[in-house]
Amino acid sequence: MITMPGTEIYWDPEIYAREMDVVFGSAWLFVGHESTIPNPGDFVANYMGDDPVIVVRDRSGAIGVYLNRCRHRGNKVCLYDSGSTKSFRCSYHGWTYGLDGSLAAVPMLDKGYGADFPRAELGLAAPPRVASYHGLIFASWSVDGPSLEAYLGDDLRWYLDTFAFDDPDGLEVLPGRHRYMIPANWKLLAENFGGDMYHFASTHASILMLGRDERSDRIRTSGDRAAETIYHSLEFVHPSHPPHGILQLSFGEGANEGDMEQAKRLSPAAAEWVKERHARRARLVAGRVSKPTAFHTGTIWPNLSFNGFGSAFYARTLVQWQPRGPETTDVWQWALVEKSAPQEVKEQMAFVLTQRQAAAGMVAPDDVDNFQRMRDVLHTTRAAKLEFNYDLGGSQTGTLMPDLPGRVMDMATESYHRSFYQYWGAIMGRPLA
Amino acid sequence: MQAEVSLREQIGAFYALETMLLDENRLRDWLELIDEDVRYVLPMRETRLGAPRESSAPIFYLYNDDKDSLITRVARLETGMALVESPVSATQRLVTDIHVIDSGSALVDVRSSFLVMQARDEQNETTFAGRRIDRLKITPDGFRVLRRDMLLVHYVLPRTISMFF
Repeated sequence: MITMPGTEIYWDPEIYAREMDVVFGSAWLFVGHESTIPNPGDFVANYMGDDPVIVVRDRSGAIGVYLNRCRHRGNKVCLYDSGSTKSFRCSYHGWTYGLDGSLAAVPMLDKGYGADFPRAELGLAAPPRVASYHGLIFASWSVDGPSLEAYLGDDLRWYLDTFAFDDPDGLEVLPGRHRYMIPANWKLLAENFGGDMYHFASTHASILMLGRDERSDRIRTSGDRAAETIYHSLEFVHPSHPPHGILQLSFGEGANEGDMEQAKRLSPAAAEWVKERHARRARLVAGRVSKPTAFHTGTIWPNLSFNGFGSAFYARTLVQWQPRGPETTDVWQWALVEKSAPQEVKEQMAFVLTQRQAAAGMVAPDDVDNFQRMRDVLHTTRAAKLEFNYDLGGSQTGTLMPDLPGRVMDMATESYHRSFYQYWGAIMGRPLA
Repeated sequence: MQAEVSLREQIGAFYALETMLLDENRLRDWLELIDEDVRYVLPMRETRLGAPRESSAPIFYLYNDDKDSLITRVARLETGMALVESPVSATQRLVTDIHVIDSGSALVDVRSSFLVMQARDEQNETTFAGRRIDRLKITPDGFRVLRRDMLLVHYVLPRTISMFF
């Protein structure tokens, strides 16, 4: 068993500052979804680590990512969450940038700066690499390193291609983005979604305790309904990319039956859509010995998590853990639905997500309470000398299903957490013993 | 004028009853004030330059509830295992700026402002502020909330929400 780092990694400002540079400087970071910026001039704002960026579609239709900071006196040039524009004009002195990030106009250019002014060099600063995967836009401040595909890795991509992005029309982002603060270091949240099936029964007991009546069945996921569903955890650890994790890889017909039960209650079109969806997925796993039906949750290194993929009637959700100092995270959450779904299915998906893993849902707020209590006793004098325990499932070796990509594990494990911190330690120059 | 004042006073008394029940965590009693056909809606606030993005897709709301889903939320809190409310939060609600937009013999539309302070676990204090437009149904037993459209002032929620406004 590796020796885990001390809990100062969740509160020390110096470690945090180095993380912003090293972790967030080397990774591919999620910055937005193509479906939210369909036309030239459309933009969304996001952050890469603690740096604000603008994601914009230019006149040619290409997507660019730029630091939201004027090159003159460092003022923000974009003050909106999203929108459509012809340019980004700094409010201080009026330097104006085009949709491709170039410095398009400077007041009093000739009189004030003269002919030698290096306007071409003063476009908005930009991460050198931008790439998309099934509509998800990522950017990286690192000039070299693996391509986005290689960074995600073949193994994780097989699960995403099969159980997240299999819809022929793709996913679309719903209007409305949740955003809330959690008093916790971003790593504790990334590790939770990537590998912490262990907490569900205790933290979210209340939702499991709701009676099995028609009223509460509306907010159950198909998996909750199916007692016979078997869940496993997965980790993707390889020297060529950072560690990623998936939770609730499901087996058995339970979830599919749960989906169909709900679909039939909704409409004939919903039943037809679910039937096609199951058939498509069955084709994608045909020929394999082990036949998973879905996964539910996961984390892509370092700070993009996802949830809601385990049921046809749960909106898919992307959750980004935006670091705001060592003990605070600004949570951004988007809901997505399969474009091919009938409208009534989309509405049901959005409803279930709203009721569960969302800012006013019946799942996410319980996690926040845990993290706040952990923060309250994180670095008091005696507490700071103690470590967390990350031993769960340490005796599990190898994979339960060698024919499937990645390492399939019994869900009683914190192996992903250990892999997460091993990689973190290596790139932070604090290798774990 | 006198009738208007009287209506506003009656609505004020209704809101006072509501805030008392919520602040005393008498959620089943509060549900009695909510109409069977209620729509209880809270979107997230965002800033946008220009026209809204064209989309026929449903909105990802914070609350998009009907009576059944509000009952489910209360039932979950009653399990005693919901971490957000075990132990129960201390809350103090203020409802003010009651303005009658429209009134008839069966329905009243009312705009009001609210502020809630929530205290948990010693000094973990959160304040939510916002406004709401209610459609109240006039019944022999008093008002019932038929529709509540809320909007919080926060661009970034200070904490997740586990209370009713």
